[in-house]
Amino acid sequence: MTRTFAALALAFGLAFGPTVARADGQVAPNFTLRDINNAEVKLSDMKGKVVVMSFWATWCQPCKAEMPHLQAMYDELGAKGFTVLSVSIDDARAASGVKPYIKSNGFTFPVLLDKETTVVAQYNPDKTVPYTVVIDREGKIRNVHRGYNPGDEKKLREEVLAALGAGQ
Amino acid sequence: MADLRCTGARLALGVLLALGARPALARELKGEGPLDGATLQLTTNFDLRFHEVPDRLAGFEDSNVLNYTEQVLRNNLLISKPGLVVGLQVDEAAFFRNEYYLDDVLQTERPLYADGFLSPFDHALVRLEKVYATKRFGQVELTAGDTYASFGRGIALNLIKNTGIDLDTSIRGARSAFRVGNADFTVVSGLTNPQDVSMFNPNRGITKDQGHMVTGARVEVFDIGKASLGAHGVIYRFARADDVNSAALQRYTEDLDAVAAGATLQLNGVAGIDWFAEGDLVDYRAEEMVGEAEDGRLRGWAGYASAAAYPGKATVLVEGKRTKNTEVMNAFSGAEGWEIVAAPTLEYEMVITEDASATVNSNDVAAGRVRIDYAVVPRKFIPYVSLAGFRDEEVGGEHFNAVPETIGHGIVGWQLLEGRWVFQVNTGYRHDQRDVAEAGADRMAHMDLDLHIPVGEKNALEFTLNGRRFWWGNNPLQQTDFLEMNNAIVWHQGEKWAYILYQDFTNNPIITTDGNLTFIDPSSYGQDRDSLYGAFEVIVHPRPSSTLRLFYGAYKAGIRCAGGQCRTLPGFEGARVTWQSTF
Repeated sequence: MTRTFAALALAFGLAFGPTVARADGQVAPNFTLRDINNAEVKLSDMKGKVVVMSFWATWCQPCKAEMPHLQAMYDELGAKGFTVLSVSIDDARAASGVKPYIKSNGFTFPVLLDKETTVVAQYNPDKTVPYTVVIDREGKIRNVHRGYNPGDEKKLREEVLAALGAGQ
Repeated sequence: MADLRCTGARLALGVLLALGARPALARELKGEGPLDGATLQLTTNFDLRFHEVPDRLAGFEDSNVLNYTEQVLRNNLLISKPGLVVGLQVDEAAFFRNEYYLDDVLQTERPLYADGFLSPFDHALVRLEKVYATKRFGQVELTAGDTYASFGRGIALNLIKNTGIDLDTSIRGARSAFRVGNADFTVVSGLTNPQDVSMFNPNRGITKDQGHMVTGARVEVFDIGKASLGAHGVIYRFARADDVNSAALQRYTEDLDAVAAGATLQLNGVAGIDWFAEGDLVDYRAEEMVGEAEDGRLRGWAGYASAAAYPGKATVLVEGKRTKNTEVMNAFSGAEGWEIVAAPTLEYEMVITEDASATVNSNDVAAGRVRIDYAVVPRKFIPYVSLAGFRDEEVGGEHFNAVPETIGHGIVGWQLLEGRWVFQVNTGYRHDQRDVAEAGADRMAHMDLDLHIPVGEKNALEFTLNGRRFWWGNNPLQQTDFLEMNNAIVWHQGEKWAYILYQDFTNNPIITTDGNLTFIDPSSYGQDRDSLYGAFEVIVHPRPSSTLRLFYGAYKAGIRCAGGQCRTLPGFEGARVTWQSTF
């Protein structure tokens, strides 16, 4: 099986033989997830907005410290073409606790459920949390942040403002 | 005397693979074919650890030939363009100074992999661990290669990434997700592909994958008023030890070992409450799973329900479950160290012990939990109280109880956030009362906290504490009461630097590991003794997407749970360098 896949990968590479050139940002893989109210959310629907995708979990203490700052940015910059997509990586058996946590804190940004880990596997294969991805208006990844320490939100805000400015 | 043969080749291999980890930020593929215009993202994890082994060869007490160095590299390459995503994960692991001469005979102390594993090197291997391509055709998304699936609350199928405890079992095959009207369909089929190379834990004797067959489908219909209704079914055919050298695809032609089916109902905001309910039935047919059942079949079933209400500043979550024989499904994969299904545990998984993990994995348990949060100051000060109860009827096996038991677990805590101040606390008491008075009760008190104190404009001091005190009742496998702690003091120097002092403590005789600072006599292994561990680590973020960690010292072994799965993770003594980056 291993040899089969190795051979397939090699054949794949040789078949296309692409060259590599500089590009203007990584294309953010599109995905479809359900939010905590069962509404369908596609990343592609956010095109034209600056998006901060934040991977978190209910058991993650630093994530809980970061979320009020994401809410503050969402409140402040929402009208300027900015949004937060908060992606819970709590697995299926812990999914019942996600919405109560969001409601108890009064967060209003969209919260998506990646119970099957199909989205985190693409964006954040280490599955470290918190893990924050800044996506520009063209749907390209501008920055990623591993972890969170109180104060990191200033740098994140600067990047969002830069992305908002760049698209206008 | 260590033998360094092949070291040059292994170093060259490491360098070659590390070269692949050079920055690829904002790279675009140009050329003919479906990947024209696609961009690349590389996520790299590199770990180099020097294992200091306190054991000595008999008669050579002053010689430390058992020390060795382990190096692991994981590269995840993501290639994406609108409508298409291709992913590859390549793992590499190597041992250095893993051999020595004794009486002029070369001794290999520990094999990196078992016979049958393909590798051109004696002490190194490279694996194309994951590979997948996801293509969207209108409303249909198709993935070929490694994928994941979880249905309902994970009772019938829960194969997901669980890297927090170094587990990542994918389904290597195909998955399709599509929408028809207001119904979401998921169909998946393949052979299980567990991650072979451990990123954070010692690699040892890696074996060939067995490749269990999993095929499942789920449909969920949304927007039926305030309701959504789902149904799923899964069939399994597990590999046996004899199957390891046969073609894995043969699993598809053989008799089924188990069949599971279930249904879910979700009601959002009915009477101001969010409701969820699931029921599952399992039919086991494999001889190894059925045991002595008279008709050659063993049935299992499970029910889970939750209700969440939001009165005023309060949030109330109530959960209940009843499971019977659902853990039997993990019989084959559990022997390999991972689980194929995971029901809600209703436990506080930060403090799982040998005793509590038995309840998590019980085949006959009923449980309920109520949690109330109250937002005294919304988003800033939210205290909570949680109360869980369990009735565990299973005895024997991994259980320490010879009679059924009733468990109560209360927890209180709070979240306090103000500017850069963080103070989060969880503390509780768990009482595990056996039905027979002479058997007594297992008891545990626990606390964990995180206190983050800003110092000046950019710096901060952080204290983290995790502690538990456990008292055993009377049982046939009598153990010793114990105290365990994992504590740390962190100095955050601006955005980029952090300096950490770790201190672990355990006098749990089950957790006998190397590296404790009070270690005196090798003959005391397995005996009751205090064990104190210390370590120092420097963490630097040269940029937000990258982390470099330099660690020296020791930490203790212990049980750790994530995603409903628990593992006893080994301790460590020595030095390690870790580099994580996304380019």
